[in-house]
Amino acid sequence: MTSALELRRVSKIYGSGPTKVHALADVDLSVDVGELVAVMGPSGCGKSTLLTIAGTLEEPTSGKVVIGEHDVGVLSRDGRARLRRQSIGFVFQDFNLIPALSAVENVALPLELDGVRIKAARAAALEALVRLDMAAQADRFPDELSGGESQRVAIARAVVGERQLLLADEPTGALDSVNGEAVMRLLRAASHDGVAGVVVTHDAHLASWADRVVFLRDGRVVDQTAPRPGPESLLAPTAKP
Amino acid sequence: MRLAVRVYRREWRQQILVIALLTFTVAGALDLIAAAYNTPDSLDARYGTANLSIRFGGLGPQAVNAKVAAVRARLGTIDVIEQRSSTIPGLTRPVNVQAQDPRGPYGAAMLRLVSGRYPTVAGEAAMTDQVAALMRLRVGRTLTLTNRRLSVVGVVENPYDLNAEFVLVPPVGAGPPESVTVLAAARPSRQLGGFLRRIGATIWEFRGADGRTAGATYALAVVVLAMFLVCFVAASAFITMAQRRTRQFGLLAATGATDRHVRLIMLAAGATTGTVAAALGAAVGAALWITMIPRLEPAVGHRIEPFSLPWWLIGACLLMGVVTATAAAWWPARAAARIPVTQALSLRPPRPRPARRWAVLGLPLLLFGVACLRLGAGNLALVLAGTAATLVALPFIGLLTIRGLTRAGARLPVAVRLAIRDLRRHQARSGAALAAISLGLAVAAVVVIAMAASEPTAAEGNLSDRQLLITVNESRGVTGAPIPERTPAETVAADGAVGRFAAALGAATVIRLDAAVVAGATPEPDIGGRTGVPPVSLLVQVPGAQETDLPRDISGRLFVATPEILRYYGLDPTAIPPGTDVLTPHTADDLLLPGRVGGSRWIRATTAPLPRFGYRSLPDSLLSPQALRRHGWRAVRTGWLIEAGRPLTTAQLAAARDLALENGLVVESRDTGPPQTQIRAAATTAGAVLALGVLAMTVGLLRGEAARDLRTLTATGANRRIRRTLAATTALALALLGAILGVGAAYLSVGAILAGDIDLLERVPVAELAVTIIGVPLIAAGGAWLFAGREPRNLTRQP
Repeated sequence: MTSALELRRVSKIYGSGPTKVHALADVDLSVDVGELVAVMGPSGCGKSTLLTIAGTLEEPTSGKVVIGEHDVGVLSRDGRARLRRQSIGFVFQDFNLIPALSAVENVALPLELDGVRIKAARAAALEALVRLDMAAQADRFPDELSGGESQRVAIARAVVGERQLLLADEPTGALDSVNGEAVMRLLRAASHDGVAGVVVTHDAHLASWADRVVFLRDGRVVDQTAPRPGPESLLAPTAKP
Repeated sequence: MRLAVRVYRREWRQQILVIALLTFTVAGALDLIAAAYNTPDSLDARYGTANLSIRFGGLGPQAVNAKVAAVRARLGTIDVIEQRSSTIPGLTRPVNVQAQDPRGPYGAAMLRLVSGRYPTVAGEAAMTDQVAALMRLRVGRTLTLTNRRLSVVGVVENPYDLNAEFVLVPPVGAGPPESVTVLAAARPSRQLGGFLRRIGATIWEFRGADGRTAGATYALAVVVLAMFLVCFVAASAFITMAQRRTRQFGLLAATGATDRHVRLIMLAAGATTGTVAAALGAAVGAALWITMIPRLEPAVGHRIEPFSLPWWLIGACLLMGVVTATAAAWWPARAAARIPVTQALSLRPPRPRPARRWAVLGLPLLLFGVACLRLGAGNLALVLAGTAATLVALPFIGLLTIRGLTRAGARLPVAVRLAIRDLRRHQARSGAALAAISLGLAVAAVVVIAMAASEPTAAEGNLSDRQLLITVNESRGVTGAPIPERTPAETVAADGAVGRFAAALGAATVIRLDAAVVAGATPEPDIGGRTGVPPVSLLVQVPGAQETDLPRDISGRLFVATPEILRYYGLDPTAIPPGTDVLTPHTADDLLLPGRVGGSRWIRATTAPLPRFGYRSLPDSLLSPQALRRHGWRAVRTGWLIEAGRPLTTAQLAAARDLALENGLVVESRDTGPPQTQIRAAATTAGAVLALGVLAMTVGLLRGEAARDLRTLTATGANRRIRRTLAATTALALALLGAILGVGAAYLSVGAILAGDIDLLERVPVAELAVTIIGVPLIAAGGAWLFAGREPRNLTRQP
């Protein structure tokens, strides 16, 4: 299997002196193409830091991050931004849709930022929304969408175009159980389509949708295990072990 | 209230900018009012503490004493000031000698001892510093005055008129006066007028209203405008404060606080900010005022009492500081109180409400304002109403333009589109900022446009930049002022000096100007003390005037139409129709000339047309030589018009002034008026600085509010250029809209006022408007671009 994301001995230290905090310590993690990995752990264990470093939003204090064939450490700031536009999709707990843009404009955002013409970007965004059954809401603004709808738009934005890596930080945290299940189903479907996914969650039940669960404590990976087969596995003819 | 104070104590640092702005405005306003109140001449210079001034002149000592005694018997306490002019060896002009009791009941206020002491006995004198300097005297020296020797005991001044130069002697043994001024306190009445007429008072005047309060009131009107502007800037800051406290307000509401409590917290912040700024502003303003006084006194020509201030206006100004800040907090307070509790707790800002209804108010208001300004010539109330309506209209129209911009930018690149939509989303803040920017730039543009319209072109003004007018006395501009008589030798000397000066200029033309004077008239004293003869003037009977009313002088003085001046004007001397008295552009039917001495008072003038020239100091009416002879008048050399081949240099103008000083002449060159370029540049710079200051604050706040979006954008792959484009577009859009609105409102206002002379608006101050409309937006966009590249910190945390 080809690795879509690889973290090698990644550490992250915030502050200095008495206020120094080891958010991550020598973390090794590899996520293959088409694999969905859930990251679990108590609050403050470094889950979100892991995600932002994997997403090139922050630089590790030490260690190496490789996304596809790109060593993030050697990329310039603009190079990292280009990588995010073209290869990485983020889904946040609080949706983080831009209120001034409509649903379709939010989805088209990474494409437009990458220089795709408005018309083409909009068409691709509409296609992504159709896949998520959100075409009817395409021209609505974020404050006109429900929480579940907002998160679908956020997922559409994260998968639009040729994305290789989907990073989700508590994507179901602001949703009820029904919408939470739906979101996880969408993420699972995206990974089946060939996108590597990393999902940070507190919910063990939702983590069961992942191919693998990584446990973090005090910034260290304390366990990696394959979870029990999720509810969907009962229907799937070839469930992963 | 306690909660409001506690909240404010924790968060007062967020208000430093508003406090500083308001402090600066209050301090400036106080100093402006104080200066406006103290700048006009005080009537105390002539009345002291009295309210009636009676003057007797041209009488012998006994007659004067009898009249003064009659006034004393009628009015009780009076103060007598005797005046005479006296010659001093070595000085060409007489000096005014004033006999006055320095402790007089009314006149004491008109004297101030600078050094030494007041003269108390005959043979002593004090004088003003200018007289002392002129005569090289100081305390202890002896002054020789019309064959009398006086011991100098002090230096004095009239604190209300520093330009008054005189020698002060005690009333005792002062000698016979030429005139006497009696100061008294009395109410105007017909009986008193009759009494003063009966005893032969030359002039009597009651103290009128001085211009001090009016000046300070006008200054207050300017302050209201400044406060209005500051109110928008402050409102912008309070909106930020309200939005930062949204969750706090939600928590308060959840624990039982009513809307009124929430409003009170914001209003208390506004009132506290205003009170602090008013107190600081008062302190700063007072310190500035004390340091300004020594520089202001020589300029205004009288002493200034530091605490002689219009206290009610000062109080109003301080109150306005508090009211401005409270008013600025009112709208955010109202908006904060209306946010539903759950929305406030979730930090989800309420959906912006359409501003269309408010925006459409702007257009009728603007039309009303322009109409008031158009119809308000000479009507202060209409002008004020028009100005106020135009100012109030700007914020509403600003909202409309933001909406229009959002629609127009639907197909722009995503960063530009997002920045423009954010302006609309945060329209409360962007609207307030736009109003402040457009107001600041509008005020600056009004100054610049009005000055450009009033600036004389090269073909207008008093003279061209190649012309010099040299005349024999400084009362030339005074209608009907006598023309001083000069000896033939003096005239020949002056002629020679002017000719040599003109020769030094190179190819210069000299036109001798001979004024017509009434032969045989009794010489009268001139302003400068020399005797002179009355000039011949062209007069016109004012339509509707009574028979007893004097006709109005329309020419000042008539110059003789010599062949050289006619040629200079491009006229053929032989083409003057016979029998013509006056060549003039005036077309009234009943133009008059003075009659012969002992004959009829006025005679009808026979006129022929003379083209009107653009320069107003050139002779506009000429008396034909035939009329001079026919009416028995004579010509007196009173001036020279010099026209050089090229514009006169500063050195040549200085040489002309030296020539005038040496020969007792007066020189007039092109009056460029106040330094227009500097004033226009200062107004443009002030408007631009204000606009850029507001922009710096607003763009920072708007982008700060959108920090959450920036995090999303960065996660989506936005690079530094996108972040910079967002900030630069925000700044550019606000600055450009503000500049267009401001300049547009300025042109509308000035155009409405100048409707009769709308052509004047063709003089477009291109440089200043280019700075305002192009420079300010570019600087704003450039600054925002430079400062906005930083990647948001703590991307893992919610802002």
